[in-house]
Amino acid sequence: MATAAEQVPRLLALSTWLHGQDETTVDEVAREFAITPAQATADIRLLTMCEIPGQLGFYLLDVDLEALDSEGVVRPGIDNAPTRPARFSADEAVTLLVGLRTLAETATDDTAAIVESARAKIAAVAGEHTPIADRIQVTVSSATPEVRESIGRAIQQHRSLALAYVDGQGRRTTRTIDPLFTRIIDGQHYLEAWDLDRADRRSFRMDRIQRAEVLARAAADHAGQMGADWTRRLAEAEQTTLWVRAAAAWIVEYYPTGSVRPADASDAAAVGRELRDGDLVVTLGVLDPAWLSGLLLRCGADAVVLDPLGADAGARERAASTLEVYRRGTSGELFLQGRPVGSGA
Amino acid sequence: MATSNAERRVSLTMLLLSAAQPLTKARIRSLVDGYAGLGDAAFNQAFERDKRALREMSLPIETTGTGEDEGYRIRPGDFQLEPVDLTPQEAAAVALAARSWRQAGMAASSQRALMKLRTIGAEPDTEALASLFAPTEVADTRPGATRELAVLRDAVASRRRVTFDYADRGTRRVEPWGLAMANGQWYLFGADLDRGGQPRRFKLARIQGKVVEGTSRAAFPEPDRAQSERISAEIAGQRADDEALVAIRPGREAALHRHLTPTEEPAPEGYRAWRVAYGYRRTFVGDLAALGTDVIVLAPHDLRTSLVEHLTAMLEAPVARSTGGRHGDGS
Repeated sequence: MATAAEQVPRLLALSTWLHGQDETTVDEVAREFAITPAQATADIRLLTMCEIPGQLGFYLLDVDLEALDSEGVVRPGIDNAPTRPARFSADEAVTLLVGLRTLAETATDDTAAIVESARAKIAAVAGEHTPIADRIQVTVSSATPEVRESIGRAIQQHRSLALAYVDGQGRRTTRTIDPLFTRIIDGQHYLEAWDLDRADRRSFRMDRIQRAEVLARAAADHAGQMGADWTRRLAEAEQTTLWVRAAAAWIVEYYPTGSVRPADASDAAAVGRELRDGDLVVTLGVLDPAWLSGLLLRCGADAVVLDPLGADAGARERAASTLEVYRRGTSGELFLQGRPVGSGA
Repeated sequence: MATSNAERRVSLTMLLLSAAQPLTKARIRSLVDGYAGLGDAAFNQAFERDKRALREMSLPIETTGTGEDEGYRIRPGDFQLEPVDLTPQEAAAVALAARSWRQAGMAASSQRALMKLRTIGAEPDTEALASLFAPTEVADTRPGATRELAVLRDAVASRRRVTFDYADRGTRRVEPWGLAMANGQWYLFGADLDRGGQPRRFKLARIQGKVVEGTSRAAFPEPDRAQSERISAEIAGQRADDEALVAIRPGREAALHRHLTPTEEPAPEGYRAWRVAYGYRRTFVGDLAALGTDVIVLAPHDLRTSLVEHLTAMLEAPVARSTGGRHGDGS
């Protein structure tokens, strides 16, 4: 999105950064400034056209345009960019300060002090923007400090770990892993690791790691055998299409979806319901049938499988056997001779 | 002359920054290419907009004199980022913080801030903290709210009112007090002007279409800190007002992903009784449904009824008939 509000500060920051570079690439600029390569190219071209007012023939940036277009290489020549970057704008200061606070929440003793001193130094130059950062709160879901400490130690000492892990379906599992690193994505703390039992790379949600024990064995180098990571495996997984009522639209908010569109009359006919505003048809990748069953049970009558037909068999079977338990229960067999258990709870 | 807003504003910045003396409006008009060919009214309008835009980026445009003599400039000393003396380890922490945002609007701002720091010499020691927090590729897999998050962050910072369509409950006008994220979801909270100014929270993923910002800054007073903190704590999920008594199959205790308190209450054979606190009944019923017979609700009775109704409705709903596989992505 090339709105002027974002582009102007970026153009200024980019021109000043390029000032100190002998050679770089469009891809590096894109990565460093978190923009697309196309936007990076457009920005660089624009800088070469920005004349310095009052100084005929002087431009903000001069690059080898042929190298830019043919190889995506950026070779800054003479430039007239400001030699020092501008003060932080509100958005820059706030995202950095909130990011540091988030990091501090999950850091262990040694690193917590480093993160905190970095935050204080940034806050000092952010001036009037600093209090604004307090209006944005990010709660990180992570593991206990003990678990985080063990994981940190294993990564630093290149050792394997034994994890007690509860997977997405609530199954308690024991994993032997070689930890790679941890990362925070939008408030969720993950451990990236090589799963030795599954011989594949896996992401573990830190808040589901109940115990982590540092093992004596040295972690191996898995650089050459990195499997597909979760996001990619999901995109390649078997696609399941669901009809979803607005009440279950949270599916789209919580899970990566292949596609989402409003339901139409023929979808409504296919599931034998009247069409309502907000009904959706959603396609998502399913790696594990048990996960799909859990999702369908959670949604109840608000989600119906459109394709492949029959993918809901497991969920329906589970629902029926659960209802059976409650039916028996009400006749007193299960619920302790009809005594109102735990009334007042 | 097709000069973009961005190009014109960059030129204006460079001119003001290089001015040894304040420049009059007339002088600026004659020097900045992007103003050429504009009539008086159009020029005045464009110049005012440009000044406002640059000031919102925190560029310190200084005004001197009045009337014809009114002059403008940016003093390099005020413009420049002050030196920040970060150790390589601290710089690494800043780099990791900058990369902890996945949503494009946030990632771009924090990454730009990091690049400014690197330009003035902060070189992250990538080894220093790599063992604990490694940089990650920016992968935006969660849909929605990318642009809206950046717009709302700016509205919160500048105290501008916002207007948006929310879920299927119509247009809302809100005084944005703050943003909070929990469980991977962003929420806006503030005074809901269409509900008598009551404090409300809004899930960003349910905002439909674009968020429109009001034009005036500081349109409402500083939000009350204690109240904002209380709302963020609620969003963070510390709220769990209701309690249930459940029977859980041994080994499946973790499956509820909730804090359990052991109890001596009797449980059916092959189960153990626990007390569990929960916040939203709908979510809790969904969680229970997903666990089948591994977790059985013993009390309260109405929670059990809700669960039975939920499962019954699911089984009674008609299943889909084959439609010849037209349900792809529709593209």
